[in-house]
Amino acid sequence: MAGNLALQSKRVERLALALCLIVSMALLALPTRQRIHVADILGMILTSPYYRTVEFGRDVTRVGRENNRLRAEIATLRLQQQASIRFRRDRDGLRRALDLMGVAPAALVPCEVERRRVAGSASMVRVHAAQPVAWQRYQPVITTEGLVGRVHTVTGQRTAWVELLTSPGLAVTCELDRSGLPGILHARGGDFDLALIGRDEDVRVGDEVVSSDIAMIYGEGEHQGGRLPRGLPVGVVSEVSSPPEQIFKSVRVEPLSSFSSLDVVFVVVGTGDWFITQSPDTLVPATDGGGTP
Amino acid sequence: MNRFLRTTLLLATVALAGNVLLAPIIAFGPIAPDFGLIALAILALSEGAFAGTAGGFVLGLVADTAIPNLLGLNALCKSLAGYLVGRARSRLVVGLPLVEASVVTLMTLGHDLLYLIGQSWLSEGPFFRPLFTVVVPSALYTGLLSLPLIRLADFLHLLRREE
Repeated sequence: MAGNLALQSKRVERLALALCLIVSMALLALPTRQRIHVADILGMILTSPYYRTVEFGRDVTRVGRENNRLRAEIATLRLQQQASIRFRRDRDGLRRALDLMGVAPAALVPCEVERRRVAGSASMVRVHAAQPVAWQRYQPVITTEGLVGRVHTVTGQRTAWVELLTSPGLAVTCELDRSGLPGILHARGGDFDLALIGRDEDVRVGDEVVSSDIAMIYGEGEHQGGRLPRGLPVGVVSEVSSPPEQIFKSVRVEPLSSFSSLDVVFVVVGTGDWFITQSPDTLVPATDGGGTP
Repeated sequence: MNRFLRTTLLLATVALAGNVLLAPIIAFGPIAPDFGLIALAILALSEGAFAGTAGGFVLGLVADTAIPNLLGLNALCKSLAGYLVGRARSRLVVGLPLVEASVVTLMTLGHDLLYLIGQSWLSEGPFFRPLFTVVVPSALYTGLLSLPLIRLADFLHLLRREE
């Protein structure tokens, strides 16, 4: 009986070996193209669980590292926020002591971009907020990267058309963050030009360009463009040159925001140069023309 | 069955982790230990020729997917190696480190030799140079490295002793 079992077991083993050898040789005998195709399919079946597990492990490790980095960043930001609040309180106290204008905070209201209109004279998007907004013409509109435009036409309590910085007719006052040098930013091609920068001024490639709260009057007459809060990131200087026939430098600026993939934007309600996060519930439409919430 | 599954999963993990993570670190240029063959030897010594053949075939197919031009060659060599070690286990004196290391060395040598013959025949590659510079040293290295792993498998009662 035991001998029969052993014999049967040997037969099964030989059969398994023969089967494995036949399959292996059949695979080897396949034409090269089919062999590669079969190898691809086998690779997907046999090794995908392993690679998925490895990928999952890597993701878990990466997320853990990312969380630690974010925790540290949040802690730093909290400290910076507390310091900013102290500085702001001191500054407000000094401004009050000097009888200077009080500065109110500005609030960021999230809006969804729902329509886009591109014309020869202007490039605009229509935005929609979840709650009524205290709209005002020329309110700045930003993304998490930087300034993208300004409110052009209010069409309802929750909707408005926003003129993008890429519009040919739009110019905004900006300054270089490093030196405080002011200039006028306007679209040219896919990038921007920072105009009215003197030939002798210190401008370097990589300088950050931010919005300025100084209203500049250029050309003939006064332009009604509204004031921007100071310090909104706009772009980075990508090219500087001094053409001999011009009295100003030619400064090219690469925008920080992507104008082709706008999804969610924030309308800056209020004119202050410091910001608060405010629930949309607390915002009410302007009744007296003032935009400060 | 549970024991068989546990053994197979453990050895598959040893083969994959060893070849992917450890082997590149402890390799001397092209001379690297083959953890897949060590795991296959343990499987064949533990479960017999059938498991050795099937395990070798699957392990070989996995290895073959990395070299699609020679698809089937690894599966052929490893299933044959698994079968032979499985058949030889009843004739071996298990428990002697020298015997176990010799089995793994001979198995690796035979496997790599067969693979090299197939490779040089199918893709017209060199034969003698890699035989002496890669195959023989790798087989010795694998045999040497198999000693602690087979002892560990024995300690974990993975090696089934025939009465």
